[in-house]
Amino acid sequence: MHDQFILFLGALLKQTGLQELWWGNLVMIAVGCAMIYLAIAKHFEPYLLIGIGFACIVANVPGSDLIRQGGLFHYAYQGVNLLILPPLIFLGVGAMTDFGPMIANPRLVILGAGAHLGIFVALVGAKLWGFSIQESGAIGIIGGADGPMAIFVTVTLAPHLLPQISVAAYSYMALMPLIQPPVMRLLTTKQERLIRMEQPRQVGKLEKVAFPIVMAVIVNLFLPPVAPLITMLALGNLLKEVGVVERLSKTAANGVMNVVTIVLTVAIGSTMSADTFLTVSTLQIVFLGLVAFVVGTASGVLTAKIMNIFLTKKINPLIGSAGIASVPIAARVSAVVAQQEDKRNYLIYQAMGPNLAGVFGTAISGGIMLALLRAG
Amino acid sequence: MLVPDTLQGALALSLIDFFLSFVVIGAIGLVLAAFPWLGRLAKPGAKDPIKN
Repeated sequence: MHDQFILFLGALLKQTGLQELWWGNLVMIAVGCAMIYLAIAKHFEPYLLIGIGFACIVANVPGSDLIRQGGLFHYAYQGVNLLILPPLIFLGVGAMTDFGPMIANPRLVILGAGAHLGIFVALVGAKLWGFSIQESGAIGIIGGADGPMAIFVTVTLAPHLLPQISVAAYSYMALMPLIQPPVMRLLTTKQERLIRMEQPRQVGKLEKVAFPIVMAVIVNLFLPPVAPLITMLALGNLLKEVGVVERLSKTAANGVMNVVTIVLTVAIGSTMSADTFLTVSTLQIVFLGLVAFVVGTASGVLTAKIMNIFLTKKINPLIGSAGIASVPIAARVSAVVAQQEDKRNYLIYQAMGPNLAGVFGTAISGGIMLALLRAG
Repeated sequence: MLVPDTLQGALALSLIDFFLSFVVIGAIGLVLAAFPWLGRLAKPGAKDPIKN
């Protein structure tokens, strides 16, 4: 009887995950808890970190069937793996975004390219550190400060690095109010930070309706590798701007966006198991991501300063850093830093122009990278 | 593969990509610069948007 009891207990114990549990799982469970804490207590990207943190905890409990083949989290990840979720996120983003500031001031769109030097510095850095060229491209795209684009490029070029890259991209996007201001102040004089800019013109409805159609045509024609993302962004924006399908527009911006966010965050978090995440390459990727954000911020500000050499009506170089993308966080950072110098200097609308252009800048860089690296 | 898996390949890719990013986004800027004319089309009586 006693032997049988021990036998049954042993059999039951084998069914649990206790035997496979190691200290790495405990570390990652702590990481998941830290993410949830940051989301609740510090309001750091709560819509992303709650789902990622929770799935990270579950993924590190060895007995969980959710992440195994056939489990719900496994199917959530298929949405990422099959590149379904990132374009749907862009549909929602398009339905929520007013591209008026970008249309109103076309000169400033160049900042959307200027602020992406960080991508290439991280790419070369990753190559120097021994990553393959595809892995380096995926790591570099962290500097595009665009979560769905980083996922899209990574799944195509280096899917095994998805957890590290997506976590680095979203974490630094949340930390931009801390990362960007010191770099912006270091590269600008007080006089430059005090520059006030004119309010841009009003953009008509016809222009706003034409914009997504024109962008969809341009991107599908010239950048087919990233066309799924920008096309869905354009569709979402068209639904918003036409003004006759309010129900669809609201669904894309709210219902679809919320459902996809839950599935996407769970999918990302479920890949953060200790076996794949606790490696030296994770630390390298996190470091390179930070370098990419800092260099991107600096190059955006410097591009604005170079533009000022040729412009009669000077622009405030602080809006240059908004070209890094990460809508609207980077634009908000530009506006806040400007207001710390002059409380009556409202730069948010002007900063939104390069900020929105940054989305296209990241798409262009990612598209070219995919076109040249995917063939391998 | 089009780009060799070397440091030179990474440098070449970076240079080409960064340069082409400026070209493509500059072209988008040019297209957007023509957008005020659309506003004018919508309101035939409106003043020249460029001179405004």
